[in-house]
Amino acid sequence: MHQQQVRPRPLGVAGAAAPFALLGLVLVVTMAIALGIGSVRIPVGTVVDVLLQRLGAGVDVSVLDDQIVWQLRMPRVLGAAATGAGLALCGAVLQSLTRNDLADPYLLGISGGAAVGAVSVIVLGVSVAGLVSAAMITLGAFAGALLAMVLVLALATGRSGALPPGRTVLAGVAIGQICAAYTSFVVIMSGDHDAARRVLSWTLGSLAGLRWHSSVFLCVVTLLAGVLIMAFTSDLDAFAFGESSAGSLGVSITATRWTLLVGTALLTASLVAFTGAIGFVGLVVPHVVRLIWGPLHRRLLPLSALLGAILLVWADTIARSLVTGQEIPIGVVTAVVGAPVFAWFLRREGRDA
Amino acid sequence: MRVDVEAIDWGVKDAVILHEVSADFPDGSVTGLIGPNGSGKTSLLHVIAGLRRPTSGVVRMADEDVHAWPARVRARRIAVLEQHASTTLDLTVRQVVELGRVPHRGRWPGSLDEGREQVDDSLRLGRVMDLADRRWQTLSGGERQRVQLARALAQEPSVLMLDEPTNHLDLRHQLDFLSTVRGLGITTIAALHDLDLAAAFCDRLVVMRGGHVVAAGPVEDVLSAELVQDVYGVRTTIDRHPVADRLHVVWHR
Repeated sequence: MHQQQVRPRPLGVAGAAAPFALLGLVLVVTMAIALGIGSVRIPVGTVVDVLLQRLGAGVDVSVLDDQIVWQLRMPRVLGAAATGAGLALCGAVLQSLTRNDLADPYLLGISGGAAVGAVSVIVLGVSVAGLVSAAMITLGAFAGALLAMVLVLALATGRSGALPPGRTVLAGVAIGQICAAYTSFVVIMSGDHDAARRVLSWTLGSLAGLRWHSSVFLCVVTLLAGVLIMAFTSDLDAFAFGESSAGSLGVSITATRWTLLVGTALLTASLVAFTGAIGFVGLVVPHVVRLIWGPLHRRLLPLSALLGAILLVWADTIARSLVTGQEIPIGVVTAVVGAPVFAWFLRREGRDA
Repeated sequence: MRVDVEAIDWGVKDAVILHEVSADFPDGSVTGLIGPNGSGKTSLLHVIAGLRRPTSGVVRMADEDVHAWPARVRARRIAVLEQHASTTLDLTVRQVVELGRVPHRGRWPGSLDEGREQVDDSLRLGRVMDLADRRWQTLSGGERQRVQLARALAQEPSVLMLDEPTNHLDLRHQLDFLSTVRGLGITTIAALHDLDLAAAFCDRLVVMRGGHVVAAGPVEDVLSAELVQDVYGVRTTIDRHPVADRLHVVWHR
């Protein structure tokens, strides 16, 4: 009841920029620390030396350190940051667009569709001549995600071309269920235990397959989508009191919905194709940012991206280093670490309400 | 800004909701849109506000076709107050009023100070300056409606459209709200249920029934017991108010 006294809004340019500076700094530090963690521990100072040397600053580093930091860990850390940022952005946009707190990046049946594609490759051995299996799984997942997205959008679109959020959510659920049924059926019927294990670990997500080219791709896609999405901050704010009110504030509702839904779907499909379905980040990060920094999108969107990146870099670091010689699925880490933190936030906020 | 509605038809699928609606709203006047539930008041408001495109007919403001304006231009000239504004987001009053600046802002996030002056003016005009740092969720119904009015004013509109703005308000807040609106001097079109409030605060009335305009003009010329009997099927006595110099509506069964 008395939150306005407890938590005054920071005013002025310095106050407004503070959270960006804070999270930006935390992300940089997080990445530097994550680069040093692994089966071979490398001090942060050496990590910084390797990065400086790579940036052309003539510092002396050993070939081994360079190999580990720059060739092995850097793509993974960068990829984790891009994936976390992308998932959190998509979640924030979809929650605002559908006015649904439970909306996440996989809303449009994307993870289900991607699983169908990936499973078809893993179990049924669908292949294209000249492509190695890993690339084939990525391609299959991407194609499946796009197919599911097209089906959901076609199912949800009204006769007038409008895309009502309620119908969109339900269409996503329907297509997701069909995809899940197909996936389970194929895995069970194949009777191949190794394939079943690979499918399970794919659906829980992993960044182990990331190399430089795929990470750069993920960074570019996330950056492009981020720029597109940032052009809609005002429009998304205008949805606060519903779409009719957004319309009277001069927002083209149908155009905004289509652009953002297709934009976030393409971004999610790209991420899911490389990393599998990583849950929790896209659902929870925007809520945490809203609880701390409020619901206005010019802060919510970039801060969600930063926090998502930080969270996923840590999650991936834990996933690859907690148990020696074995990777924990990153989806397990995000849920085990994320859920209690989120529950704590909810309780803390709930005290005043 | 003067508004002219010329022979508007509008409907959904096969149901025709507005038939050949014509009306004019002089610059600076406050017009009450009255009529029973389902008579087409809200639909007409939305068509005039440019939110729905008529099947035929034209809405003109300052001799320009409202439906030919781009959405953002329209939103800088016409502001709408919905019947019941609600949000689940945790916004402050100032942030809600700042939404009125959306049609004035560029696509990319700009300076935080954009429109600060207009937002301050709107907070003052809507008489909610003292609430500026309060949270929307903690406001009473009457306060919320005044904040929405301030939001509408932040759009710097030439025309204000109100859809049953006093619905959830107690008597005191109804009177406060409508006299604030009256004092603005902006061309206002308000759908109203309470005939006595309409008589007290409007210059003109447009009376609707079944999607048709059945009467329009200055309150004193339009409002009569026969008309109310005809449109609402309710017996009333309409005479001079004992204290205020205006018409006064009393119903009886």
